[in-house]
Amino acid sequence: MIRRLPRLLIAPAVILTAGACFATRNDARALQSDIANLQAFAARAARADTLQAVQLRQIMNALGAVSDSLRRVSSTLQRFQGDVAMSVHGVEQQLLTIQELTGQSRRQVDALRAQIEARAAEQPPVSSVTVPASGAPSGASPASPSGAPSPGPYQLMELGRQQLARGASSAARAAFSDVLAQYPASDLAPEAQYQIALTFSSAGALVEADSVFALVADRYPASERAPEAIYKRAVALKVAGQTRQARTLLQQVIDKYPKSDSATLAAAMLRDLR
Amino acid sequence: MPPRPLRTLSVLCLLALRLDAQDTIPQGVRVGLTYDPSSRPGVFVTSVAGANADTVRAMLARNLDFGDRLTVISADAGPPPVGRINYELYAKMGASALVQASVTPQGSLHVAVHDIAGKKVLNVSDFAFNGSKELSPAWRMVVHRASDEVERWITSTRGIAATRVMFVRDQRIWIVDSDGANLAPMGVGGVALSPSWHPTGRYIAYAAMADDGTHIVVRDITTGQGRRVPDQGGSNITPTFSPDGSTLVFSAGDDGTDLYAVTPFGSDAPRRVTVGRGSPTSSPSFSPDGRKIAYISGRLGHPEVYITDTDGTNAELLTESPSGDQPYRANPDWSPDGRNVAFTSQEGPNLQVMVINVRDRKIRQLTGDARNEDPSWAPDGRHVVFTSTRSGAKQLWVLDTESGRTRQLTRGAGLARMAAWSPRMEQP
Repeated sequence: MIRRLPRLLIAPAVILTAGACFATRNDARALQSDIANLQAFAARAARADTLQAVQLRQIMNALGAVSDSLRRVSSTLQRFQGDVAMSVHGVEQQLLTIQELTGQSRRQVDALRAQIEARAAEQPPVSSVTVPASGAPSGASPASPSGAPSPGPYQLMELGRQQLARGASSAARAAFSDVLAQYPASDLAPEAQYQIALTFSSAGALVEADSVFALVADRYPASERAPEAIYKRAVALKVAGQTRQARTLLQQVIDKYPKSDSATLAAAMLRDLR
Repeated sequence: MPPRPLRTLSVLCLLALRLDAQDTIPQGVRVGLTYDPSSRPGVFVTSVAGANADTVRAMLARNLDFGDRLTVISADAGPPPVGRINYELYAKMGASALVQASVTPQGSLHVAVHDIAGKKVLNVSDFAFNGSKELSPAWRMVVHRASDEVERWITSTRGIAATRVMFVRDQRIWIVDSDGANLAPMGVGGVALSPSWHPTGRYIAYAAMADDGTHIVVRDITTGQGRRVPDQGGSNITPTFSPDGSTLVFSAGDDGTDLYAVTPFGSDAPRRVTVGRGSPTSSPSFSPDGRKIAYISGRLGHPEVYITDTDGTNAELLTESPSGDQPYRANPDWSPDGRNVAFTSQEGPNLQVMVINVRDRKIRQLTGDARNEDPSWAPDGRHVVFTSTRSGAKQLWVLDTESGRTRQLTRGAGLARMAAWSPRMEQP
């Protein structure tokens, strides 16, 4: 029995071994098939990966291109904004320059008019002058009691300025007052009134100066001197320690004449007072 | 040996014959024999008795000469005159006045001025050296003050010898006496620009460069202590004191600049003075009455000189140009008499020093030789110190605006610029 046992064991072992051999071959085939499948799959996957990588690269490139475009657009936009800002600044500067040139020209024209008036006054009096029925035109020189033509408004203004520059406040005031008295409708009236105020302040008569500056702002609110006149009053009040009244006037300059230089100065002073 | 009066007379007679031939005044000193004696009275400075006599005489003669109001008669003075003055002889020499000086053993400079035509003493005064070391800057300043008084006695106008000129060389502040002596750095540390004098002459203000910008510093030159004034941050330049010394105005800003006013010894925030609207505004200079400020603005697209009331209103263009011209104008300085403003102007390829009359706005060109700029008035309102390249490198020169006479003030290495003429120095 014991002898048969090995035989009995050998048989299934052989069968098993043989079977195993058969299974291994099948499995190997299957495995080979699987491997082939896998290889095919891997190849497909690899192809797919390559494709994806390519697509990814394309996407990345596209994104890069978009980013560059955006950057370019942003840069262009910034440049445009800068250009616009520069243009606006340039326009502002040009406007400022024009304003300055206008002011300069006005002063030159005023001086020229004063010269013309002076030359006209030097002409010998004409014996028979036909006076228009409507009277003398605005700005024309009225005749003095002696018959000689009195100075015109521009001439008087120039005379007043020269006197003021010399420190002759009273003489300057007389000249400016003559402008107002003889040519009340003249374009120079606001300036004459303002200069009268300056003659007082240069003479140290601050109360009188304040009242005349107030007159400039009241009578000629549309003139360029109006905001300056109010600002000067505010400065005088500040110096005198009347801060509350000064603040009121400074605010008035800002509210009524927001684009004037005086408004900028008033805003700065108002900040300091707070 | 002839008697003393006869000996003196013979010496003076010889001198009278040799007026043009001799000049014992040190080299570099120009004497005024070329000037019209009718408008510039002749003055003779006698030999000086006492210590440092030659130096005292040379300084007196040079100062009177540099004042441009007197013609200093150049001649060997011989020994110091003793006893009666021979007025007739000095009259023959062309002298209207005689300056007689001596250094006393008590340590003062005794000066007498004789009126030759009136044959009398015009004035006498003693100027104490106050114990200052011989030939020191303080000692020299005493002699300068004596010269200025002599000039006042004779011409009724005080001289400018007792003044100094501050300037920038190699980005440092230097100082020199008005006669070119005593050149020395001010001892201000760091880079400093645009120096300006306080009306007392005790303080200076300047722009000091730091890592966080340029600041305005006020410095006591007697103690050396400096103090940064409240400013606007960023770039703060070109400070100037008001005539009463109570206000300091300077230019500040980054994108465009404006003028701001501040109390130099206080802590209040600066007050805005101009509205440049983005244009550069700088270089303020007060009128002598303190009511107006001249300054530079680029509001027209190019720098021009403007004037404004100190509160910022009533601004007007001072240097009007023909339409189409775009000249460069800079560095205005208001004259002490209030009549003129000196400034720099582009004239052809060069910069020149000009002066404009504030009343009639007439412009006069003061220089024409080489490049000239940065004028600063002397306290007499007649002389101007400016930077010029006429000797090659930039150096300081002094110009008499009435006669056109010039003299070189600084020499040596380094470019000298941004000169500021001091007020009269009342103390050593």
